[in-house]
Amino acid sequence: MTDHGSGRGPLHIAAAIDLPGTYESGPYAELALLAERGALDFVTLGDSFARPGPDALAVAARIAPATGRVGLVPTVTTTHTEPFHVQAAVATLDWVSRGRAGWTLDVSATEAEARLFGRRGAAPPEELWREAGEVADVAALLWDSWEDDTEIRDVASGRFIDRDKLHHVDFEGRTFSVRGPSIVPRPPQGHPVRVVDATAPPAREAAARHADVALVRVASVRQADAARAELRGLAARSGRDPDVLRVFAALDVDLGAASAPPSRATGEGRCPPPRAPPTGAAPSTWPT
Amino acid sequence: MSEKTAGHAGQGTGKQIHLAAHFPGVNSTTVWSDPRSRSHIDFSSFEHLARTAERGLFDFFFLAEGLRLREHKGRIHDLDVVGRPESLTVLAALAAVTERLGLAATVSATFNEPFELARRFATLDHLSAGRAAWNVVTTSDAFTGENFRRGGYLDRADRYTRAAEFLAAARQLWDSWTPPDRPRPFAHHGEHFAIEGEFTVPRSPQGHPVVIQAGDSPEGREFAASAADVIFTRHGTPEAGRAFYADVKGRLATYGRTPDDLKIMPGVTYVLGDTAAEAQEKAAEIRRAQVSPQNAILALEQVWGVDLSSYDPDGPLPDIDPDPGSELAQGRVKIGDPLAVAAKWRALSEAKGLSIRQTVIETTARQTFIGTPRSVAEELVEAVRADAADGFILIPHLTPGGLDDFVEKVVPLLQERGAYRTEYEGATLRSHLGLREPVWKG
Ligand SMILES: Cc1cc2nc3c(=O)[nH]c(=O)nc-3n(C[C@H](O)[C@H](O)[C@H](O)COP(=O)(O)O)c2cc1C
Repeated sequence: MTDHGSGRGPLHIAAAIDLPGTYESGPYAELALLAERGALDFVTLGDSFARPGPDALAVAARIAPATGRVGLVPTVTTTHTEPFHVQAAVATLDWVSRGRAGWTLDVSATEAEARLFGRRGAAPPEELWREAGEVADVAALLWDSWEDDTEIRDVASGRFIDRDKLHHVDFEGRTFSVRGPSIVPRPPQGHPVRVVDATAPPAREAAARHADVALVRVASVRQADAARAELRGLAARSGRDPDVLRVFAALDVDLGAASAPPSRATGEGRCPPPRAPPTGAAPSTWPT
Repeated sequence: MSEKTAGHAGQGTGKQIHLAAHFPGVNSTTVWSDPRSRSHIDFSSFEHLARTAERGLFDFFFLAEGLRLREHKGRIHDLDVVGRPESLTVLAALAAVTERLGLAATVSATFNEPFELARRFATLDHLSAGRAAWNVVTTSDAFTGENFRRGGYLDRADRYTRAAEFLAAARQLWDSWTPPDRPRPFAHHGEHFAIEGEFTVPRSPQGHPVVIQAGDSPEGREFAASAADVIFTRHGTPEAGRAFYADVKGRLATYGRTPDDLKIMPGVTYVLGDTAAEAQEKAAEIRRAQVSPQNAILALEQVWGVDLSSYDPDGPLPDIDPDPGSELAQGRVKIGDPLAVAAKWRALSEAKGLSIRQTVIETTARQTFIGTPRSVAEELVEAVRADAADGFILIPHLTPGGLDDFVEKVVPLLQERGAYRTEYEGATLRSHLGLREPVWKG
């Protein structure tokens, strides 16, 4: 890291490429390609069971072959989805994108979402974020449940793998347990990037403990600095090196095209994103 | 046939063959020791096989599922390919590198919830412009359940009632929007699910993704007859195929369905050679690679249910009896009655003087079609014309080049015989399969 004690390196920029009402892949791929041409770190795709829209991780996988460098970061909620499925899908996104996957953890806090599943009632956000943290923990354990050189193809002994390099995880959380190992070999990045929108207070603790990138929606540079200081403090208190946590400020970017709705870009740096990322036509709803 | 079905007019008069490609990987037919064998995980392997299948004008590309790594004698099974990426995510990416090929994922109805899975399949159908298929399987073992919140709670007897209700709920969700773009509330209250709200995805290009079923019990066949578009079956030989075909097609009328509404596609293996003798030789060599000495003992232990590691794979079968209650092998589809299987294996070994390894090769690894491209093409056409199948799910033994020779050499011969399409006529998987569009039940 090009860090000088403050965790700050060069400016990082990401862009939300949400397209409400769009279910085919073409427009998403175009925006991701624009972002890639602008050398952005990653694009995000929001997701929620509570409003219309396609499965964001599938959209990210669908546009992976058309892009080559830009990171692909869909939202994946942890409240109603099996943790084992969450980690397998994110690991697979990392495989099909050859190491460009991340996921934005989120929770489903409403009663309406709970009724879509009919398995558990709504719960307070603090509780759901604690569970989301456990899902992040078990995902990391499952990604590490295959050592990188597990596959040996040893014809003499007839063994495809060295099973001593595969590990049960035996995770016991408050609301779920997972035996492991994962069914998916360790993804190319080892751990796909974990992103948390830390704007809402109940998400901050999880962001500080588990995120590689925390996003905060702010109106000013001063607010961004304050949020960053708070998150770094929380990270330090949870025993993490605060410099491993990157904080991105989310801002609406109006590129001046009179008819285009403002685009939302997120970036990390002393200034808010000074240059508009070249996602000028991107109408964006992240993160609503 | 209704107007919506893609006919095969102009492409020959006889019954047309449907073909699908099964990605090799976690099963005992995959030969990983061959120097040509590549990764079973890298996207490039999936892309290669899918592009080959599309070049061969196949109906669909098929991925199996296993939600827990298999274990044997309490340890992770290490003799076959282990591990695979998650199917729906791989298929979404494959939609970007193919244009017409159907994309089928096996996904358990036990360890998923209708709202979420219906949404994932509807999304895939949109992202692929109408090419999604779901192979509904019904895992019920507690062993797999240890990876899930839900645990292994499902009784074997309940597995199909849950699957049937799951699918009915999914169809309700797929139909829940008012075309083209207005969500409407749904509510489903049944024995297994009590759910309500609004679905997040409009009705998808196929209406409903194609539904495949792969269970063999009477309950499984009944479920397929009532609700599936395709059956993936093990009954690949002409005699077993005809019996299975007649049985399942005979169950359709009860549900107001016609024989054309359900396609029967056995999973089959094949070996090609320039001459019949060369094909036989290659086939024998592949079987030896599939059944290593270690694999032979393991196959035997799966039947016997006891540790047989002290036996010589090149020696005779054990004279002790199997333990039918054994849990030695976990995470596999169970074989039939172990005592009967053991008796059959013993009889064969005695009659032909076969060793353990030879017996396992003989009973488990014989390829379905072996011969020259011409003879294999003829057998495929004959099996379909004789109502032993509507088509085949080809299971190659090599990743990812295992279908190259079939597409290059056999497909043109099927076309020559007027038994196979010379181009895709429709854009959706339903149209490839000649299936009706589901009626919208708004
Ligand atoms: C040809 C075939 C393929 C199957 N593939 C899978 C699979 O990929 N994953 C899985 O979990 N189960 C698979 N199954 C298992 C079935 O879903 C089902 O659980 C099993 O056959 C027991 O049901 P039955 O008693 O009706 O046969 C397969 C079964 C058959 C016959």
